[in-house]
Amino acid sequence: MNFLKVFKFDFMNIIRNPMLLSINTIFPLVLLGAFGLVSSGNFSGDISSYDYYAVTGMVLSGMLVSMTVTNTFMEEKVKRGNFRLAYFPVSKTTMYLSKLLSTFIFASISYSLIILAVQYVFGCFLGGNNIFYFIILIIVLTFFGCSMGTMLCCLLKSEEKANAITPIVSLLFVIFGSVFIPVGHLRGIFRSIAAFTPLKWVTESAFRVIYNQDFSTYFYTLFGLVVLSLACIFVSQIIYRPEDYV
Amino acid sequence: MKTVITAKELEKSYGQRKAVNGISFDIFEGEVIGLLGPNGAGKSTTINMLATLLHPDKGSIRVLNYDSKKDKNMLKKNIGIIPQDLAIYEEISAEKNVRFFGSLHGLGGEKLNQYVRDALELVSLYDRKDDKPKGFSGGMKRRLNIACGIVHKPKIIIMDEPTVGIDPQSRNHILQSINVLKRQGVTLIYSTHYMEEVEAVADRILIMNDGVIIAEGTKESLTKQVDDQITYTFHLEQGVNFMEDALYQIEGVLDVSVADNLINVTSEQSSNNLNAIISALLQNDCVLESMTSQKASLETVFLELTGRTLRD
Repeated sequence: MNFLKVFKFDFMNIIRNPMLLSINTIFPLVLLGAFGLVSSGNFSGDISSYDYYAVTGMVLSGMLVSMTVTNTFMEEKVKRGNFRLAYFPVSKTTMYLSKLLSTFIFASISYSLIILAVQYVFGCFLGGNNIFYFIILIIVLTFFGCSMGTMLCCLLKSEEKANAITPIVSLLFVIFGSVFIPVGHLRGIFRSIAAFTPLKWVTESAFRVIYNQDFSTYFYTLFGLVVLSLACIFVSQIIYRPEDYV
Repeated sequence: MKTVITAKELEKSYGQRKAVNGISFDIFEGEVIGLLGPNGAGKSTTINMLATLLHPDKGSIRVLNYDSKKDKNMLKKNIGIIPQDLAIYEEISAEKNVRFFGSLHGLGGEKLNQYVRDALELVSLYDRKDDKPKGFSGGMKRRLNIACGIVHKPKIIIMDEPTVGIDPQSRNHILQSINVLKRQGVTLIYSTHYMEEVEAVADRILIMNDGVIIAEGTKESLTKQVDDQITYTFHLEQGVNFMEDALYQIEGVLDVSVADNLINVTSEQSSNNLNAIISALLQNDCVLESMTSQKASLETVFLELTGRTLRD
């Protein structure tokens, strides 16, 4: 019962934070618009720059949500109140899982609405009738981003370290996932690392589903993301100790 | 009297450092216990063990007959903790803060409304219930911190240095709230390194230092140990450099401390050496502006037992 109360409270804390609200609503649209405009000359044919960056922009957002979790957990304005829960009849699982799930639900709703708006309002192509497969892919990626962010908070134990390390880890995933730079096309170790990066799987699966109606990697990608997410949650359960924060 | 808290042979270490080293105590229903000691004495560690946040390396704790290891949640439902750090949400109203923490104890509906009101009225913040703590003074935030910890009307309240860094007016306000709780029959553990606060509210005092309880008793029984001691404080007209040895040579002088324009001399009252002390100061070219004296206090007890002051 207390889990629902804490979850609801954390969810409202995200909505009350103007920075978190705008990063998860306006920022993806700004990203798509800016990159689409700047690189419009590099694209021709059926796929516009806006179509391309609508996909990669949402993939990026799904990964950077890890920083939203960090703030939900440890931002200066909320962390002391959050850590007070250790003195209440609230399980340690509730303490970190409520942050993860509140961020996940909020971001999922936001990104789903953005994806629908991008296709049906702004006219970008995100798979037509297959758009819901893309939405599901981004939602599962968001769950992974939230799980990873939570795990890093539990590992690092301080706001300063979490805010410093989490963006670096997320950006490494983005770089090696070839989201904006085709690292996967380089030779040697870069290619190998890219092959094992979840964002590479997501980006590739997304473009296959949207443009080729090819689902050959889709369900494997979903499965891989879920397994990695559960691994992050498992690590969080083992290492999170409320007394470390009080 | 009914025992509500029993702690036996508690030990807790952080790496090589033993923060709590084999302490035992009983606390009775309705008592206000002052937990007094300098920073690093082990007070917060003891409190966190009572709150079940830390597990003792050795020893046991029973609170209201609940074991701190086996019955954590039941124990947490029956105590209220006011942590040393301000643990409130600054971006939501005072009332919403108290309401949220009250709801986590299973309160709801009209009962929660009434308990929230009672908690805010106790700390005199009801008229500011719709305001956000980010606009509060430090003292008001401390009071809200207390309200969040007592909203569920627990039988036992533990306060960890609740007056740190606030003005005297807010401190008095908090001490008055404690007296109200005392009259309501609540059992309260009050941790502080301010002797005067403990003297104002506590029925019984535990003095801690370096992880052990070095003295226990009422204020009267503790100060009786140093009953003969008196501290003279000399205010000088200007700073002075002089040899403290000159005062130590006077019979009955126990301790001398010098800070800028103040000289504190602790002495045996029975030695009647005030005239000799004043003569020694005058012979060393000290120009006396005024003098005060204070009989034995808990500070004196602590100094006698440890060789240092509570604020060291």
